[in-house]
Amino acid sequence: MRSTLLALFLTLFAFKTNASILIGTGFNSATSGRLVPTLNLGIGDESFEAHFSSVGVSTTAYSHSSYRLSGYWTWNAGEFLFGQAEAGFGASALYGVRSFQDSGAERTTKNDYVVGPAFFVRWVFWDPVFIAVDGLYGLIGPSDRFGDLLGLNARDNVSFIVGFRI
Amino acid sequence: MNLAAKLLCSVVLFICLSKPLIATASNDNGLNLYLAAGPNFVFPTSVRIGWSRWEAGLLTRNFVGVNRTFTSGNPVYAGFGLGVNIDPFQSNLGFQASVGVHWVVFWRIGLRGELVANTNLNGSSSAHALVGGSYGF
Repeated sequence: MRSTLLALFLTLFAFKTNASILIGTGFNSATSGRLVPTLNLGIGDESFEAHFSSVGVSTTAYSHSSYRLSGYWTWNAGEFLFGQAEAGFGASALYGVRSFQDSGAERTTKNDYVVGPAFFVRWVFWDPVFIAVDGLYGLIGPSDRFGDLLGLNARDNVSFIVGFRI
Repeated sequence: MNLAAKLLCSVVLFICLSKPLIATASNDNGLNLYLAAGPNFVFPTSVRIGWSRWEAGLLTRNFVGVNRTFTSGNPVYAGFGLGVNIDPFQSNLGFQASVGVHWVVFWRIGLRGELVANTNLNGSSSAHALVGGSYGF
């Protein structure tokens, strides 16, 4: 699953000539606050970027994988302290798979997804090294209700990324 | 119907944030105040005192710090800030990112909504929407 998404992601932008590539790691709220390292990849130019991230954890009893694909219109926001800030707004989709196996019992597996507007702000504090906060405001998912959305309640996913651009 | 309503809501939110509907400049010069409600319309979820492009205070739920807004002459703006989570069980340093719209609708009073994401260095994080009003002194 992970390799398929990665191949799709890279194929989509294989012909983009003036693209820069973003590589990073960090942590993601998909793992509920546990600091599990993420893989973050991105490709794009001055006006549009596509990002892919994945995070996973596996033990003999439990496993959890989460994948996220995003597209952003980006702009150079301005100076921030001793670096530059860049921002992006677009849409993102997250897909997660969890499985659990108690001793002597069959393994149970559940999958989940959420789709919605997404955004990031990246602080390039030591070019090409940056930190970024990336948020997904999930409006569409398997158990969301319209009333929740009217109350400004949505399922969220947040990534903190430390990376560099080549 | 439910899915259609969700899709409609997504499209409206997307258009509002990506295509400015009312092209008025935001009151981001001088001293300003921003009060906003968050999830379940809990008020105030955010209380910020700003000067020019910088603002400080309760940036969002349990997150106190300093935020820099980046405007470019239209109502859409981005923000990036540093702060501290004041939840006693999750207290830590953190970062905040936001994207929003700010319309000055009458005199010095503005409408401002933003999507905000903050993350703390201990791994706790949240993203949610804020809607509120601003006043430029």
